Amino acid sequence: MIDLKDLLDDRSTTPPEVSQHLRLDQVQGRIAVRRRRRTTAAGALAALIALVVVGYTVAPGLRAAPEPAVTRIPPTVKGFPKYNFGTKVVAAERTAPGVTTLTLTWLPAPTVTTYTVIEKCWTALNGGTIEVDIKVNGGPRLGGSCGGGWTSALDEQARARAARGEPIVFTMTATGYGDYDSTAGEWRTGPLPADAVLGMAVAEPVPFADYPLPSRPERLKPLDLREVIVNEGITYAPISEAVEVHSDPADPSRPQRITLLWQDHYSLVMAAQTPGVLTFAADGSDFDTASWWSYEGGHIVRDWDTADYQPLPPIPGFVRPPAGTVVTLTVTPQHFTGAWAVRLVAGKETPGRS
Amino acid sequence: MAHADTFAEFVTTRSSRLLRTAYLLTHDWGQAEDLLQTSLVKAWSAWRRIEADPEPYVRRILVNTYATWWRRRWRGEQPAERLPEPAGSEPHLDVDARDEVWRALGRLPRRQRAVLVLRYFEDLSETQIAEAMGVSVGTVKSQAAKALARLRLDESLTLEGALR
Repeated sequence: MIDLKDLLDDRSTTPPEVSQHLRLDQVQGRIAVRRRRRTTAAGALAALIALVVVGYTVAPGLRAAPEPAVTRIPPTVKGFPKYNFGTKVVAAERTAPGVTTLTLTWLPAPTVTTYTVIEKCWTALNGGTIEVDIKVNGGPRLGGSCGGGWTSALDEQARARAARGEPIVFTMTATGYGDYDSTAGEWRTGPLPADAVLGMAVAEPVPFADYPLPSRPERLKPLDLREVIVNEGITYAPISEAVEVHSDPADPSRPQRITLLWQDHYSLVMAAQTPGVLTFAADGSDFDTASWWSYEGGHIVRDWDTADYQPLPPIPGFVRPPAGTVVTLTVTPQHFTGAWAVRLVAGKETPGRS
Repeated sequence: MAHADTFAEFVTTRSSRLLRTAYLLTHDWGQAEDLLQTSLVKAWSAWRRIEADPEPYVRRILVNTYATWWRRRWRGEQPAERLPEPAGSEPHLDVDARDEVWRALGRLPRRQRAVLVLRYFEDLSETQIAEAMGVSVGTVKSQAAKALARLRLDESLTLEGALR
């Protein structure tokens, strides 16, 4: 007989190697980073307003001047940044306050193979979340707190329908507002606030050459490959056995090659100092890409389930290497003007993982 | 006591228990620590408004952040097709059987796993679980029933303190 309570208690006993004494410092560090980001954003906004006000006040003669303003405000479409992470918003909708259902219609261009959906909701209330259900062409997609989004491949059927002029219809329905009732000490889902606004946008990928990149900073951020890999059902090799591929310090556009004994699974952590694109090829066949669109030095985390790897969308001609075979992995950089790096951590799939 | 002080005290004295809950949800100590820290950072933004015990609030954030993680990942929910065999009743098989149940827990859809963790580890009632997960009591009941059915624990598991 197995007692589930006993099992959970036993398995969650914290092992001695798990350090907990640094948690407060780490949490406070994260809070400080978030505060700095907000302060920076608020400061940038304040500076922008100040620039506009000063420009308007000090140089009245310029008011009638035909030249555009020096300060460039990032364009938005119904509250969504027009350009974001290599995509361009091509369809967007937002409701009037209090309207509980949003419908967004998008007719994909013939060349589109993937699309990104972005959800965003607004209310003057703080602390809680607007809860929504989302359907695509009438079928349920997901439900939960409004915010974030997802990227999907456009399958052949959808492309054929688009070619016939049949759009994709997204429906977002607000189901309530979740918040913590501090008096009762409970979390409650209540009615939707009267000022709640629902928003949804669809974005399509933009070719690198057509994408409006930010200005290059004077000093680039250092590369950092430290990132927690989140995956279940996979037993990872020790981090000391991770394989790293770095750009050539003299020429970051030079391709790099490594030889791997192909494993069931790889989790990748990638970082780059500048915008650019990395293309991955196994034995000469391209099968994946990763793109950076800013100078923020952000991570990209990617999983290759090589045991059953199915690229999205399917790549003609690509044959998955069998696990255990020797594979030459080529990383081909494009457009980079700074360093980039990739860390590959091999793992073993656990059957039936979730 | 200042809000920063009560927050620090909470993190120092109370979060080790939440780390265990996070581990039972993620089955990985690194992910558990990341999930817990992410939840604590989120909780700090509302800390001034919390007048009662903050633990239910932080637990609620933790469970929902965990659910959001899966939602935002491309892999999505992939419940296992095959279920583990029921654990044996012979004592010498008990260790293997416990491993089997542990692995089976890891294969449960996340909301079902969360229901079992909150019930059997956190000792929450159905009503409390519903509040923590932001769902109805009926949903908690159905998720728990499905989870136990998936585990096929009917005959092999002592349902101590069965769901109320």
